[in-house]
Amino acid sequence: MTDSAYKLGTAPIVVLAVYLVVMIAIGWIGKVSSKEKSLRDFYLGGSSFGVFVLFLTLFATQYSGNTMLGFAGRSYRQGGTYVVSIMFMVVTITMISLYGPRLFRLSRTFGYITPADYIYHRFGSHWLRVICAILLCWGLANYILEQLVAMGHAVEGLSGGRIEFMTGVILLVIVMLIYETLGGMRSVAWTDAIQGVLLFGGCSIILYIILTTEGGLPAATETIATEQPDKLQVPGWEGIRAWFSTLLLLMFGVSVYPHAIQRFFSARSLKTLRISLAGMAFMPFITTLLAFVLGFIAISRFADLTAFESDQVTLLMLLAIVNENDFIRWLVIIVFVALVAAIMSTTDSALLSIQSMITKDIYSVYINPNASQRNLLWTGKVFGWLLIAFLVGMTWVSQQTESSIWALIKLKLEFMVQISPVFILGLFWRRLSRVPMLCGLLTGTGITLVLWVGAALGYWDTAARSPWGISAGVWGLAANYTICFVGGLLWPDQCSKAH
Amino acid sequence: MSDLEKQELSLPEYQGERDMDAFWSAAKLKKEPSKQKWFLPILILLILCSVPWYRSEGQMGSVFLGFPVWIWTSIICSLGVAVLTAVGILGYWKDDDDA
Repeated sequence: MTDSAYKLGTAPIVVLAVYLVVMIAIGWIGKVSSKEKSLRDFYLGGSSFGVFVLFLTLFATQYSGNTMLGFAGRSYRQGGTYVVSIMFMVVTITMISLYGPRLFRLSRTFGYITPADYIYHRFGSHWLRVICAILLCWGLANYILEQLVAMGHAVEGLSGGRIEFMTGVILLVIVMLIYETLGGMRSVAWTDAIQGVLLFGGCSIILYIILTTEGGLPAATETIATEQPDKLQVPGWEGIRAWFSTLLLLMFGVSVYPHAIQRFFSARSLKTLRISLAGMAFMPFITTLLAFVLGFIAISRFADLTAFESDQVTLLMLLAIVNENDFIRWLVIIVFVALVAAIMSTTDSALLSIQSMITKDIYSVYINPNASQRNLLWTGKVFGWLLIAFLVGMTWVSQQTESSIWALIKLKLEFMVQISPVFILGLFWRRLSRVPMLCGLLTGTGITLVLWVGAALGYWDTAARSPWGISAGVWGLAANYTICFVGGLLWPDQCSKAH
Repeated sequence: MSDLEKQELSLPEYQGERDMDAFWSAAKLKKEPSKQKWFLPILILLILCSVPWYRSEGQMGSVFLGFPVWIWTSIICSLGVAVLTAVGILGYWKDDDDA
């Protein structure tokens, strides 16, 4: 790959440098535009985003480097059944459309900054607020870690190996911290808007490449039908169960991503939010679908890639055509920069969300209740710097070790999905009180953790982590919802009795 | 001062108060997608149709425009859910402060 990448020349490094300078300039504009030093202004951009910025920041945040690299790799390994990825990205928006209207109205009425503001307001439990904040922060930190690894690969690929993996990670992290520290959510959303446009352009280019090279999709399908027909066949019951498991995990898990929920709180009006969300329902057809098709076509072009190599099929597909002509070469450079943009836009949003939760839900409530807004803002910023330094260190460690304990760090969605009843039931069912909710959350998280820890310590194999082909998180979620239902019926919330 | 700036300054910041009557009163909307009787049944039907549990295992079936028909079925069901979601959001999410 490196040999091919060298043929890109030095142009990608120049384009990347220009892009990074523009990001810092936008961060500075975001700082100049901030109206007051308040949490709402820093973490929600003063709740002032119109359709253009809100839609693009939602788009750039929802679709990360993982969509363009990881989804294509999974499609390569799994074949036709990974078409599930399109449905789970669409239905995530559908889930948001179910609980979002109520949450948006409540956030406007009571001024929520973080998802845990709603959780405390609804259930009145300090334990629930802290546990949810910890689970969300854990999931997001994990998410950032994935993005940092993707950053290293993207910059290494873009520069043809001239910029080493860790140098690339540190370079992008420094730029991201500069613009995020300068202008908070305003800078993040404005840079997201640029990154969203680049991502959109990158996806369009991938579509062009798919349709125009080596016979496109029909030729690839013919080859796959001959060489690996199982990847075109309807799965058996085990595969069907795994399909439903993936759908449930993603539709309940991704729809409660805190950085996406906080974008709700950033909307200027209901109208802007509605238009942006309606547009988001169709975005999987230009991102996830393309990643799926790209990985699918790669099956016919690259034989026997390992799991690690297959996560780079997007890069391999692009580098395979880079020498066709100058036009294609520039298109490939744009896609690489779009890839970097997609990774950065997700990382900065997740980091800002963690900072807001640590500041608002933990520090200002339990550590320093009398802190000024200025103190809170600086605490969040310093915490963000320390956290990202730690995660960069973890990124380096992850490149050096292959420990099975390392698998535990991958626990992200399985944990975050346990929070979904807090929103899905909490906003609609008055009878649900804090005790069943807390018991459900702890039981669901406990089941997930036991199944994963057992596999990591070697008590059972990795496949047993998903009994009957259904992932640990979904088993935990089923127990979680059951406890909430039974608890709500037997011990209803006191204030619901009045109604 | 612009309307937007006035709005920003008028928004409260949640400080931990818990008036549950006010909470449930604020959680009521004029119209919302989840309250439409047809919304959830159509959603569940489309999700169920997107998974090829009703087809024979190991079958590839006919190929159309490069994909087997069972893959196209899943993509079209996803498109159906996207349309349903957009219709729900744009047509059935109404509130007093609609602007």
